[in-house]
Amino acid sequence: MNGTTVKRTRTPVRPGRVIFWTVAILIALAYLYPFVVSISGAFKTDAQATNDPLALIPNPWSIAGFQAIFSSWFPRALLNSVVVTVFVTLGRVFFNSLAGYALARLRFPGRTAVMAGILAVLSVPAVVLLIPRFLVVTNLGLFNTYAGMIIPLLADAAGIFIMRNFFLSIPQSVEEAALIDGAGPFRTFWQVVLPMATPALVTLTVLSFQGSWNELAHFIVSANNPDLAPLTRAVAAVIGGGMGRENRFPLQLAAATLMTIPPAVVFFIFQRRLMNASIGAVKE
Amino acid sequence: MTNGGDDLSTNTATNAPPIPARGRRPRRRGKGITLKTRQAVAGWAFVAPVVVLLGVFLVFPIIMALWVSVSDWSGAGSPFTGDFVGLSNFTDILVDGGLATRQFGTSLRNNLWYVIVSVPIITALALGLARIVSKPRKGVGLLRTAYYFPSVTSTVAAVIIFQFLFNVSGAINHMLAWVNISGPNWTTDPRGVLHLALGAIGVEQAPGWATENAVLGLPLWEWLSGPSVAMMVFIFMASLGASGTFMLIFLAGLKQISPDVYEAAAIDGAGRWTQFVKITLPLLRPTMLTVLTLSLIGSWQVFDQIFAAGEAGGPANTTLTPAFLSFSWSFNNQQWGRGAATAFLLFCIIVVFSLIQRHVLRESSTVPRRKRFYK
Amino acid sequence: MGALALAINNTAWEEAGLTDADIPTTWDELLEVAERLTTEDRVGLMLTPEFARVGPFMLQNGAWLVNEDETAATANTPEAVEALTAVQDMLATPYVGLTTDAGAGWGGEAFGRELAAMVVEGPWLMGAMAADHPDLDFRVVEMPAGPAGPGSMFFTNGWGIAAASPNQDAALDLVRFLIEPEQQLAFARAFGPIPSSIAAADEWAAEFPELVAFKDGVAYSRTFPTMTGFADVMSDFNAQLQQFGAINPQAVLDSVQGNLEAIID
Repeated sequence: MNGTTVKRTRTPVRPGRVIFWTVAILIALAYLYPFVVSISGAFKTDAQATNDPLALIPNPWSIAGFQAIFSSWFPRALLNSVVVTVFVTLGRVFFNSLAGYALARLRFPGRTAVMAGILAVLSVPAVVLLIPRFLVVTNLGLFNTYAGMIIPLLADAAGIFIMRNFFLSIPQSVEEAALIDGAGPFRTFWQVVLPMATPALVTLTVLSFQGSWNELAHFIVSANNPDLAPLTRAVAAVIGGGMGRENRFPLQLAAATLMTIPPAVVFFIFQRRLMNASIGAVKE
Repeated sequence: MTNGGDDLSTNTATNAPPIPARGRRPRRRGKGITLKTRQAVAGWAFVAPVVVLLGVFLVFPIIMALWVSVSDWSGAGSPFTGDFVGLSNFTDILVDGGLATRQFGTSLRNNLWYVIVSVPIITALALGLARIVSKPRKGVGLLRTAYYFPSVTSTVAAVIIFQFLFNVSGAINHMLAWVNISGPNWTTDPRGVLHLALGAIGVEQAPGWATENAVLGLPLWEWLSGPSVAMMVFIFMASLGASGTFMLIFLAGLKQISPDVYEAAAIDGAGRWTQFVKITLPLLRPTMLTVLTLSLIGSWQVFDQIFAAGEAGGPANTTLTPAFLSFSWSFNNQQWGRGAATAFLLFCIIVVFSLIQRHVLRESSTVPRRKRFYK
Repeated sequence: MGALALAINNTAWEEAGLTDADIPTTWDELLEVAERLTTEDRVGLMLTPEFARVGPFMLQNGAWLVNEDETAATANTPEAVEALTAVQDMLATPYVGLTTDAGAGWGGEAFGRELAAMVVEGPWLMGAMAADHPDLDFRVVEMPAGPAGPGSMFFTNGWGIAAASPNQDAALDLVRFLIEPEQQLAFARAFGPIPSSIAAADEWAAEFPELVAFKDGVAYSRTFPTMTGFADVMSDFNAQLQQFGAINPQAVLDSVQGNLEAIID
């Protein structure tokens, strides 16, 4: 960013700089602390988790929490999460890129209306959609099915815009060349344009993955069969006291830690993309 | 964490020119299918899946829910089997004065305080963090990662972690004990923060006018309670999770401000703080508008974490939100009409708040005399 | 089905020098015993702030939320207010506490973690203790009586048949079979629920003498009013009770009365 290099003179460390870095690092530690505590708590015994929550190193180590969840509902919930996330992500990528391309490059009657419709739908707050989604899922006979959990999540207006914006930025010369070669719109899309869209596709994939892995509300309204519950729903079920259920912190923390690993890994790999996408997804 | 599922992209529909046929008109004879037709067919084929999905799973259900909100459907069979009851669901909630009204009023009060407290905190945090990571120094990338990391976790995991941290004998209270503060039983303490503050300065009793007058079934004194101690835990949770996302938006906005402007101001003798207030903030106005709008929309829809916490809006209904109430009335009590009505009322509230906020932050076409810092 | 009873930690009981003769039978005795059982880390008696634990005390003072045939609301009678005030007074002493203040999710957790020497719970306590705190030595006795006599609350489970089911007759037959005394005893032996059939009562009492207090309490118990909409009224009542120390019993019961009147019509 700086074109010129400045010869390093031995300037005394300015107090301003020290304060800056101290504050910045303290805040970073504060932001990471809850997760550190979560990991260490997951390996503690019930007793130590309750009595000595500050200790960062469990003593003694105990994997009882992990054993408890793996021997009961966790594997099934993990499977459900994977199934739903994979299908939602694939579906979103496919449908959104198709629609985004059409809205960017293909002329068809009613295009403006469709754009306006998508924009309008985008502005409805998610909470208003809870009950309506349940009504539709139930009436289509999709309650307590994978289909009911997956299909409604494929409707993703924001993703359409991401793809559309990307396609708008591709020079048209590529498509013109394909047209001369006699390619129809679908072939142009599939074989020429889409391969060029890898950056946007990756972004969409990552966002869809995160969105569906961490989704909770829709899974509440689309299924109540515990065998179909994805991780969010299943983990939520072990929270809290109440009739006959104690606060088993290591168990809960183990579940919380494990379910955070996939989004964390995806985040670390694709950080740059994710962060750029978040900025780009909201343009004034 | 605020529900970040909404996107406020306001790109206007630009009409990209169609792919031009090179130089000559497509022949009509023989083929019967013009390029235009092929494009139109392809266009519709491409958007059809999405249109169907949005129509079936968004548009049509909203219409169904609108019908349910004016009916007394009780959950069995098709939603269209309920009887039309006019606006009685809405009046039960808003006007009737009974239990439903009081529950709605309580949920409104809780969410209102949540918004009032969390939005400024989140915005200030996001802006501050963005400033920290906007300077191109070594190690800033690591900081950015750390600040953004909480935003990738799910609400459920966050609730578990925070309930553990804020347990009555948990980490936070242990740390408070180091400085001789006896921490409250965070997750079960229903006392309002404002009430506690007023109590600390000696205002113990509610003044008469505050207990006698009630709005939506809730005495004014209760409206002035502030968020409860338990609600504060959720606010802390949201601050951690949402500030990362908004930090990125502010970062983008900050990057658009050319450093020359700051240099000029520095030459004119403006200090760092003055630069911030008089240059950065005004130039960030559009970004601020975006962040505030998203933040408002998200914080009025608090549901996931209330559900996950498993207390159904407790303690003492102080973490009840309209979104949760809508869910609870529908799914737990089978009072779908009421639930749907609440959802639409919430929609109106969100719209109103967004409009107010846009109005307050609107760009004025002329800078008023007293605000100019040029003479 | 079973009624709420008083669970007592035997180890704590003996440490405090109490004997069988000291098992409380009145409110005053309950408070005395709680005082003797209170130590630095442990409260004598712990309650959860909800109607389901306040109800027995109301009944013991001759009050209840509704009348016998549920045609009128009686929540704010003077007896009811007295009962609620009495519980509040008990909670004001250092010998009686709330589970929420101790960070316990319910009475059983407080009991198992020895945060309290006595709790008021129902038959589900047995399964929870066996699973989570199998080493705890405890017994269950009937709740003490109040000024107007004994009182408790009973709870039960039920079998439900879907209204839209195509197999209703078969389902009905199944349910009839399942509630026969033989089957109910089989359930009881397998995982604990107390039979609701009177015919099974004696045989069951012989096999499970330690649970007898839960059964005997049913004779003087009432349960939740059954009007539609009561769940909301109760959840509002419970919400108000969560600030037990600060509430005005008359005002709380007045509001409950108002809500009940709205749903009784």
